[in-house]
Amino acid sequence: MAESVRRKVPASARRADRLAGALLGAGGSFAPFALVSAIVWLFFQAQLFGGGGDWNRVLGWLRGSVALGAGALALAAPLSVAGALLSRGHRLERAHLRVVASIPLAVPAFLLLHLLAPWASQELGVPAQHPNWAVLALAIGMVAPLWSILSDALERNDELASAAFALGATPTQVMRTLVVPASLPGLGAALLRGWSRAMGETMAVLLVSGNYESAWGGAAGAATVGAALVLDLPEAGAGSGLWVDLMRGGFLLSVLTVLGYALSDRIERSIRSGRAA
Amino acid sequence: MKSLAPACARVLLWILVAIPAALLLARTVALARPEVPGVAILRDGRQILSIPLEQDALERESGERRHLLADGSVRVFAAAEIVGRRDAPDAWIVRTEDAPPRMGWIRALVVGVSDTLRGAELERRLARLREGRRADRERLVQAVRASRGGEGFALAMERWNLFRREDDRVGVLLEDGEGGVSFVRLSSVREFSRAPQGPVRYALAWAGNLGRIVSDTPDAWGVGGLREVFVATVVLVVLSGCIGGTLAILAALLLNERLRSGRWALVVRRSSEWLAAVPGVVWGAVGFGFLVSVVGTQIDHLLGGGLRWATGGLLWASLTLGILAVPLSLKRALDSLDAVPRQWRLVARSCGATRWQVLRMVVFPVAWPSLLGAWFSAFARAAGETAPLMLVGALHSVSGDVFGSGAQFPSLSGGFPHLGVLACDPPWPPIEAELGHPAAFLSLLSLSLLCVVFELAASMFLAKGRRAIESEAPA
Repeated sequence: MAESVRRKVPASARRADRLAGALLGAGGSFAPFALVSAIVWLFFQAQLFGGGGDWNRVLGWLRGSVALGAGALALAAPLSVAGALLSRGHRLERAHLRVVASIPLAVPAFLLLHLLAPWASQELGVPAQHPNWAVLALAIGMVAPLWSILSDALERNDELASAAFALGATPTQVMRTLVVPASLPGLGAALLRGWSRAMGETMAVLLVSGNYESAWGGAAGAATVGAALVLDLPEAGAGSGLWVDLMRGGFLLSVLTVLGYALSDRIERSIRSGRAA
Repeated sequence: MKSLAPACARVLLWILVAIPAALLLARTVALARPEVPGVAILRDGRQILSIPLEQDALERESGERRHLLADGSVRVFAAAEIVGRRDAPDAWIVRTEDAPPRMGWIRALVVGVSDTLRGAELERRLARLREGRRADRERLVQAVRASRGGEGFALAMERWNLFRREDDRVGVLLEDGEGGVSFVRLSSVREFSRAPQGPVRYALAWAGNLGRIVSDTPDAWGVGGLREVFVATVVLVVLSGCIGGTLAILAALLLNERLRSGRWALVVRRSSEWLAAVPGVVWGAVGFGFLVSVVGTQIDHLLGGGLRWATGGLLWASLTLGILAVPLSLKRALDSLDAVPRQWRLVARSCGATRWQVLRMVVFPVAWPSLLGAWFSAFARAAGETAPLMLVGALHSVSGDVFGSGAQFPSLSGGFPHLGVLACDPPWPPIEAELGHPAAFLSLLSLSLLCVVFELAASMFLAKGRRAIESEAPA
């Protein structure tokens, strides 16, 4: 602020400004500091470059998480894409979607486990506790969140679509020749974000597959990182081999999910800046 | 097609909500039905009092069925083993705090050494005596707790010990139908019930069961209701939301209004947003490894007096969920502040307003609904997380009188029950679940409702903020 202007600002206002700045500085920097510190602490606990631990076990958990996320995404994506395309431009559905997406994923997992799995086991001979149930539960739970993310990606082509409608294109033509091709990078980014979210889901896996020694992770232990953390961390002594493995798994899973999110964020930003230009 | 498409989308959306909600509600109501004990006639001629439990898929295939027996144990019977069954309308189900539910015929009500009631007199005084004994017990427990370390402690303990000695002589004699008689202390009985006779009484008993599940206190056997579980979950979500939401709003104000142009601000902003992708269970691991194991141990070491903070509890869980909720809330708060046109700030600054005045007089008046929406987002995020709580304090088992009126619940340092954990990893023995206790279904339904309410509040305020800015901003 120029000196001539500063003289006109009352001293009390400047004092209030300084006080507010100090309070905001202290209070506002705490959350980013805590978030980053937590990840740094996790990094040191993981001892990525130290010896000890069992990397095969960690990789088994990670493989389980990645595969589970991919399976759920493969099942949920068609329904979510269809829903997002059908509900384009309707703000009301978007608000509903956010609400539906807030329902915990444990709900579909629990219902599958208690209502559908016993029936399928009896009628079709499918095992009642199997990782595939977790994939299905996760997929059902992922439809709404993924739909919500995809709707955001599609919304950016609304102006182009309006222009095409004005020129006499039919809805099918607009969808086939304009919206879908123009939204592909955005859809890809949205799916990446959905995958990174599905990888970290824990309760569905714990509930449905029982998790231990399942097909995903072989006999090396718990099938996914999340489930292994919940089941084993309370029993692992701090600094023990199991503790280090679990922290490694947690850290690497975080890196994977953050990378997926960051990449999708970057794609979306580049799409937005390209459109703005 | 243009009008059909959104209708299809809406139907799909409703299916995603309505089917799970309807299933949870239907199972909750169905499982709250009153139990009806009966006498099973076995092939060898014996007659035993039992309640048949719900068959699972394997049992339906093999024809086997589990029965809850008079002593509270469960036994599997093959289909051919039971040749007949008749009702036992006069048999009682006795639910106590320290044992599984038992069944039988109450033959006598023992009140002290010499007084024994039978027949109509027994029926008349049973409920009132039970309530009196339980009220006495609660009062004495409260007195002992209140006087701990004080002058009246010895007297309170003396009265308590007197009550305990007398307690072993006040109860009912329960006959199991096979000649066995057991004594049940009256002060430990939560409920005496019999199979309701007639459709109206049956419906009333059913409704009463539902009401009790919502309003009663749980105990070590899971008998009773979910009142404390509701309270603990709401306290946890409110604490976490307040911590996470407030920290996120402060961080957003700092990043957007004070450090807007700095490169570091951009780095911090991006990285904070990206951390929204870190799974909840990883934050739970950090909460367990750092807050519980490191900070809690240090606090216990400093304060002395044993293990108090070095175990999971409401405080550590709230902090963990609070930090976990920051990225989402921060992103929404930053979006809200970004939506306020930059020119407004520039004009105010060029007129000589300080940054605090700009914030107070220009930004807040239009952005407060959105900021409130961002704040509520932290509540919704915290309500939807279950996995991290299994590491930082949610109860995995309940023993003794954890939830009674004398217990210090909820406390910041103690374990707590949670609706999500209750459904996925019930802290009680499975006997109540087998009896058809609908706690798991009801808890998931309530948790979903909590998430939906907070997300609705967040969405409503975010939309209101968007409208406020759009109406103020120049076209």
